[in-house]
Amino acid sequence: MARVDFKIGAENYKYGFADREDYIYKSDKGLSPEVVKKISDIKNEPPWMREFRLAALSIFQSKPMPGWGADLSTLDFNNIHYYVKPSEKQSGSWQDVPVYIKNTFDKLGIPEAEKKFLAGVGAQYESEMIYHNLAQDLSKKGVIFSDMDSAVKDYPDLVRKYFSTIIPPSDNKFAALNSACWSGGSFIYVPKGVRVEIPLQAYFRINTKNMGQFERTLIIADEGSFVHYLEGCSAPIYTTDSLHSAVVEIIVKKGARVRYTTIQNWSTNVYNLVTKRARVEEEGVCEWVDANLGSKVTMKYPSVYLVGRKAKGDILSIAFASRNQVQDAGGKALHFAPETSSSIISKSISKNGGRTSFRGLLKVFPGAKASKSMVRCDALILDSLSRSDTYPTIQIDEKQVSIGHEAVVSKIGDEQLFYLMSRGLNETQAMGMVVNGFIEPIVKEIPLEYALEMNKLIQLQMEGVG
Amino acid sequence: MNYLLTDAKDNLELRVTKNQKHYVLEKLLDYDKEVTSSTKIVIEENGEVYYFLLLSGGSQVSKSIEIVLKGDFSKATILGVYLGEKDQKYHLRVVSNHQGSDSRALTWINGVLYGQSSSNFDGMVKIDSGLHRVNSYLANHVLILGDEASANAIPSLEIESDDVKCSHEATVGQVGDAEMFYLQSRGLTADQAEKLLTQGFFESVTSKIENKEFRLKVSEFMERNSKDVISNKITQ
Repeated sequence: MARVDFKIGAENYKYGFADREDYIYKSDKGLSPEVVKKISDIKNEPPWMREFRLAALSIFQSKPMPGWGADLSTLDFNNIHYYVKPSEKQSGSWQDVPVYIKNTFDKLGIPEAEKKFLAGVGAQYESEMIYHNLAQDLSKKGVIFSDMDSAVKDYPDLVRKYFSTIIPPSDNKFAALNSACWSGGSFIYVPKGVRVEIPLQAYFRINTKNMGQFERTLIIADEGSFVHYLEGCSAPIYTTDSLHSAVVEIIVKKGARVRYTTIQNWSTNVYNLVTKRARVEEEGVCEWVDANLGSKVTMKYPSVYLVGRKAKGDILSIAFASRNQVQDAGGKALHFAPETSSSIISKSISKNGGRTSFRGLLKVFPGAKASKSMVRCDALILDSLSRSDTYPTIQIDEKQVSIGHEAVVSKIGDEQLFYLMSRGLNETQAMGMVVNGFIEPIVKEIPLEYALEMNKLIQLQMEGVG
Repeated sequence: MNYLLTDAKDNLELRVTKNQKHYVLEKLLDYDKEVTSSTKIVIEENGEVYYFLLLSGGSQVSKSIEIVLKGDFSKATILGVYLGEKDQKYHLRVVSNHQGSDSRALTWINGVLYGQSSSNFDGMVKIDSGLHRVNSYLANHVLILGDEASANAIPSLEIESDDVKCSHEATVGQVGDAEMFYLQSRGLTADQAEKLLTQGFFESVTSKIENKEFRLKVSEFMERNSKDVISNKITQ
């Protein structure tokens, strides 16, 4: 069977268009206490946040780079703009959004998406939320959906109470970096018993050369509430490396449920080093749906800390690595309380010399009786240049548990290809169909329009015209 | 039969040459000191090895087993059982490194932990690039029967060829409620039922030995030692 020459690379990147750079303020390259103070000044922040940033900066400088995972040696912290402010003030309606920014979003299809079913859109263009709109009935119910910068000023008590309680700056080097120079991101508060039936969503993009994007998201779901938050990422191509290092904290109170869906499609020069964690209280549920398609290097392990009885955590992860890409993704579940349950399901695909790694942690602490967990990783390798790794860590300190882990790595079966090709598909179409079938159990958890986009992106990757 | 019986306290290096077949039984039974040792087996073209590790002794055991499937069509079956009690600590590192095409490996290690004993299982299947039709399987199953026992497992895979079939599984848990209920409803006490299930758990590993002669040798040691240990532990 002839090998299909997959042509996929930077030159084919679908969203690889760049707008001219037009900014009100752009920090110098590199990070110093002066840059951090300047960020804080521009944002007109209260003193506690300024102190928090400066403390985080010194933690960042004292922490070593992680000695495991993907190669980060080409990441130069001194060659990055840590803050860029695009336009003067936030816009309340779509009409007020500047035209050139609108063009960018049009190409990404945001307005159409909104027309269909979105209640509120917080679109982060560069470091600030420029467009913000939340349906009125949600506001009436007391739901807060705002950008993080505004939330520090508008809801100081809530923010101060919860900010950085799940992921302190000392957690890891990149959490410290984010804490020092964070900008933008979403703040969501859902009051007791309120169910937000329509997904809230934000689109993130990076658009200035060498600009780090450090968004900070905090979601608080009060007792018995429900919210689904969706983020999709897409960045234009640049020749020098960009850094994206977000921190996402979720607090799921008693009986609440939060679903957090990410579709990451950064261009292939972006380092995507993200810390995401949820604390789940009694009978709460947290679900991470995490799809990683783009970026140069992704290191991301959404975590659930199950601290209350019967808390539940589900992590669904898809990773697709093509030429020069490393997708080091996975998930962590930590069981602190009795009768907690978790499941981690990972599907990864590597192709054209790409490398996917599943890295996971499953930990059951003493006293977390009758806890259950299931971890399943499936990997497809599409050619002989690619690589797939699995590094699951399982630590069980409790007797009364039921823990299972399974992983399978294989190529696409010849008989599957033969079957499809005998029905008239060419090899690329057949492979695309098998890959879409492979990730289908996770894709079906994603809202329809995103699922369609996912399938399209996979097909484009397979055909090499994306 | 190329049969080798060794003490797991000692280091072992073995080269299985072309078309040869070797059977290795490594054991560490009545022993109460610390042990650190390693085993390395290199298998050349069309060679085959059956390896069995039987572990119930040692206060703190750190054992590294490296199997290199060097030649094409090389084959390895790496089996093991360990039984921990009191504050015994086992650290096992098992690597199967595939360097030849059409090589096949099965790694299957089961452990039972009583008391405050603990086990660390570090498994790795490594498949080098440019190989074809490689098949590898890695499993670690642990029964935690002691209230303060704990188990860690890291069954890793590093795969650099696409023409492979490679999988692993790991479980940690207790004996099944349904099985316990079944046996007790047939008149066994809870202790007897647990003992029977534990024996069955070990036998599921020995039953993977195709060669009858070798299987009998392994079973003989299990009969003589492990079962006494199990019954002592249960009656204590």
